[in-house]
Amino acid sequence: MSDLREKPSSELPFFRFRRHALLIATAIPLLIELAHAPLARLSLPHVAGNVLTGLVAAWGFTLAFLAVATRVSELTVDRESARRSAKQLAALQRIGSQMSETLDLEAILGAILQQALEATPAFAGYIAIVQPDSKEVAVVATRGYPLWEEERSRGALLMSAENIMAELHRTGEPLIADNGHLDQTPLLKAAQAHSALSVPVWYEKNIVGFIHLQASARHAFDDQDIAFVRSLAEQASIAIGSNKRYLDQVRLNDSFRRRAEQLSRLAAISRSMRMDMPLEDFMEEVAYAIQEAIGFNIVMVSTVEGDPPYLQRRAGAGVPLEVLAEMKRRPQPLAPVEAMMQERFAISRSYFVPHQEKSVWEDKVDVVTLLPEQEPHEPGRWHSEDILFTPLRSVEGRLLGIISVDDPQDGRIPSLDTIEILETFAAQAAALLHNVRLYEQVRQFNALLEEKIEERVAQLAMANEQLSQEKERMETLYRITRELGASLDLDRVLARALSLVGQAICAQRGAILMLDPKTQCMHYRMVLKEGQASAPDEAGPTVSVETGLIRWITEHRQSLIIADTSRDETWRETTLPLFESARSLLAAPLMVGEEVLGCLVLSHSLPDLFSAEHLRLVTAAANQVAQAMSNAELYRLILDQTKRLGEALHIQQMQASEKASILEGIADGVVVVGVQGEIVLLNRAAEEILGVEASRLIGKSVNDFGEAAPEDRALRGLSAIRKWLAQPWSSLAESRLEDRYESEGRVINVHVSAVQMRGEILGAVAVLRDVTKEVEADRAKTEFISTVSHELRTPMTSIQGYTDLLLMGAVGQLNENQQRFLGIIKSNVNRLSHLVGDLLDISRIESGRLGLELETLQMEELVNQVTTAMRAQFTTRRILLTTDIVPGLPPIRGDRKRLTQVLSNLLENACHYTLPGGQVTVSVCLEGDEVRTDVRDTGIGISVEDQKHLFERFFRSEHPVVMETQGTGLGLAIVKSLVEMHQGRIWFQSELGKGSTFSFALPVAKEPAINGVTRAEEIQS
Amino acid sequence: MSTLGSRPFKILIAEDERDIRELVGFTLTFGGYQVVEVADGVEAVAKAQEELPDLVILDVRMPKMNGYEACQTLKRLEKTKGIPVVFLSAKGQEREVKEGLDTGAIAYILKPFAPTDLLMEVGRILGHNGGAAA
Repeated sequence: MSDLREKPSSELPFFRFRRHALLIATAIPLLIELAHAPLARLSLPHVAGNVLTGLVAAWGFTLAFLAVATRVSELTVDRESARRSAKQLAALQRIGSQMSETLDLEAILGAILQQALEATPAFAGYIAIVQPDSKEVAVVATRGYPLWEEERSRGALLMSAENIMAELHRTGEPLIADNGHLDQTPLLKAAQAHSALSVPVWYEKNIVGFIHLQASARHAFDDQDIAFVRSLAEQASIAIGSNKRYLDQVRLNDSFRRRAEQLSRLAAISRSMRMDMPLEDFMEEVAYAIQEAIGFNIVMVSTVEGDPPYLQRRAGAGVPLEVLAEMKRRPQPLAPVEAMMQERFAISRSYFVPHQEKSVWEDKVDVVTLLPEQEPHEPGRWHSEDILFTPLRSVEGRLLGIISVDDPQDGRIPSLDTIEILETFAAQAAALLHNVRLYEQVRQFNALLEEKIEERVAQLAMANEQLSQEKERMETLYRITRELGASLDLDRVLARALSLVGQAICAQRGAILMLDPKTQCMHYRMVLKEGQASAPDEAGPTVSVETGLIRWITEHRQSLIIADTSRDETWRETTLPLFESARSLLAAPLMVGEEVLGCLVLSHSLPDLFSAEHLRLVTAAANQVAQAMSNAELYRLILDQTKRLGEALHIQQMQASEKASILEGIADGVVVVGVQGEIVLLNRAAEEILGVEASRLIGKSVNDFGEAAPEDRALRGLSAIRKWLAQPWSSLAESRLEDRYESEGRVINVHVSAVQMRGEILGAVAVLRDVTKEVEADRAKTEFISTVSHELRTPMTSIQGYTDLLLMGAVGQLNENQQRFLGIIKSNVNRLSHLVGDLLDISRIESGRLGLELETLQMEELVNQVTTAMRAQFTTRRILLTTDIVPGLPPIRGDRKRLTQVLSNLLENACHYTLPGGQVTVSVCLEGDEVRTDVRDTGIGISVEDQKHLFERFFRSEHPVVMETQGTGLGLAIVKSLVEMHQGRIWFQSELGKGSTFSFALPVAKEPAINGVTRAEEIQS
Repeated sequence: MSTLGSRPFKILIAEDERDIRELVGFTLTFGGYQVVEVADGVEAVAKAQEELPDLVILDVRMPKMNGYEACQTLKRLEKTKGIPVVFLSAKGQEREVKEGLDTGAIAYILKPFAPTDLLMEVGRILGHNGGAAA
């Protein structure tokens, strides 16, 4: 619309304005319609159908209408021209409606021409269109010419049209002829015509025709007319386009249908063909199919045959039978056919040699011309000497044959489409031909093969004969082998082997002889006679290995055949019972490795009976027999050994189970470990005490268990063994370890000692005893003593206290008797007090509740303290107390109070049991890594009998001096316990009437350890 | 007289056995001390707060409250915690002695005892030679 506004103004702007308004009003609904139109439809394929074609045409018109309307508005503005414009617009509208009504091109073009005559000064005209097929210009519509003249002038019109087309092609613009000079347009004589207008019709950028108008006036056509006719030309163009599309579609449908028919025909052929169909029949099928489906009157199928190759006609359609028969007889040379297969003749994959080129094949190819050519020949028509053929090729491109066609039914040179269909047939035919060929080949091969097979069968039959003999021998050998393997009973094995071998070689007699290495003689082990193999009843005769056959075999270690004994040197020297009458003889050594165990001999009373085959068989059998003998010997040895071992084992098992049941029966737990600590034995009681199943411990090392957790019974028990094993190796033999631990309310005593055999340490045995009950009883006793002692002390406190107060004179002066009696009371209370003290001590020691407060001490200092404190006592009794202490002694570790108790006790005894005037010496010295203390007195001594019981609790000697002395009989027992708690030793030497020496030795303090408690207290806690 | 300045030392005795209570009381009185006697631990604690003695002698085994508990109580109370405590017991095992001393007692005298030994021990604790001679 922009060009409307840009148009230069004219003398009648108002009118122009109105016209614009009118045009806009007319155009708007069209535009809206256009805007809503699914434009995509315009590009839909033609095949969519007639409806679509109509739609496309209608839209084409609408667009053209707009263009015309635009152009009309540009026409001159005078009234006349306005009227014309209106007229022309109306004309265009009419054409539009016509076009939407019909698709008939001629009708539309006629209508267009009609409108052109009505809306322009023209009185006559025509429309010429280039024909799509022939490319010739044809007049398709005429108007204004008298009917009678029209028919007559058709040729002139055509000539005129040709010229005008040429001119239009040159310029591309409308052509106007004025002033009567119509020389460029030599029209049909229309006398009154003085001007002419030719407007090209464009279609797809080509001029496809034109509208030609004639007017009587000179200069009849002005610009407006030209523009109008242009619009009409556009309408025509649209109509042509619509028509073409329609026709295309119709044609396409047609060709589809044809193609479908042809393909179904092809399929039918394929289906009908089978491999076993004779080639000729098959080719004939193809030829007739091509004839019917594609439309050639003559079809010929040839195949390539022979070496050198030639073409053999196979089948034809449309050829008289006798001609075809003749053609089949005449092979066609391949070379000239190949000469025709050149690029310039190629159409698709076929070759078309036009008759003009017949020199290529003339006199070379045997062509049968059935139909005489009609002269003159029209271009595009088939010539009888044209040649069209399609090669048949295998998949790999090899030429298998050709299909040649002639005399198309429509008489025209076939189109590419047709040729392609022909090729489709050809391809199918080629494939089938190929298959048929293959099938034939296979058949031929089969025949050949059958022949060969027959030959081979004959050969095999012979071979089979030989094989069955071999097989029999192998079976014999196999049977022997199996028999031998099946039994270890040597007699049975040998009997079976001998009879089988005898049967296999048809021997009458046979024997297995065995070598006795001691005597170097062979004796008969098994004898075959009258088909029966048996062991000889008694030892039988023996044969020396020094002579004859046996010697030969033993020396050569080879089998041999004596074909005839009567002519054999070796045999002559041989004396072989059982074989005296033998003529044929076969003998094989029985060998295992290099050792000859014996030999196998077989014989027959006829000469020349044994073959090399027999020898091979017997040799093989002999090997098996030897192996069996060796196995049996081995087996016997093993059996003996097994029996002996079995008995021994049985005895051992009996003994072991006896021991085991004893061990299991023991109430104490027994754990045995190897030197590496691996647990090798654990009895049921041990399992129970440790709370672990034996299977969980056997094989494990006690060292695998870390530091014992107090709650884990098992680990606590095993830790004692670990402790024991951790000792120096040299000391293990003598070492005993006693330990006691408490876990889960049970007290377990562990005793570990070495397991030794002939002085060698094999490991350790730990005996675990549950001493809970004993410990409980002990505790109860201790508790009782403790309670009783306490209860005794309370009244003793009162007695002693009040006695002391009285003696102190706290309540008044006492007379001598009162004083003496109170002294007696006090002395007895003291005695009682000591007794209670000792009882408490001994009970605490026994229950392990006595703890030691260890510190580093000098024995010298202790001795000095005690002697100083007790000196008065000695003085009173007129006993000389001396000390003899080696200076610079190392310290010991001990409990000051308890060691003081030990020393006091020993000195008190010495004091009591030494008569006035005697002497007591305390000496201290270093002895090894111990500090030794001796308390020597010149007292009453101890009888040998008493010495045995000295350290026992409550032991009191019946010596009168002892009887006189107050004492509990607990002192030395307590002393011994205390010394031992210090890891010390105590002992004495005494002679009745001469005196005693009590000694104890305490280990030197190894390192300045912190004050601690002994194991006893550990257990207590 | 055993005195602190012009006033005699006051000793509280807690002992359930009447004979022994009297024995200790008599011995200490004989030694010149002022004596307060009670028969159980509860009474001992009460009397100690009331009398504020210079020394408390406790039997271990007593009804209502034993010696250890009484000692612990005294040591907890602000008024009495400075007063030295001595145990007097027939229970003479190391463990028992240690337990007694751990409650804060200054000495542990075993029964039976000689009256002279008791006086010597008390005198030592109260910082003089004790006895009537003082």
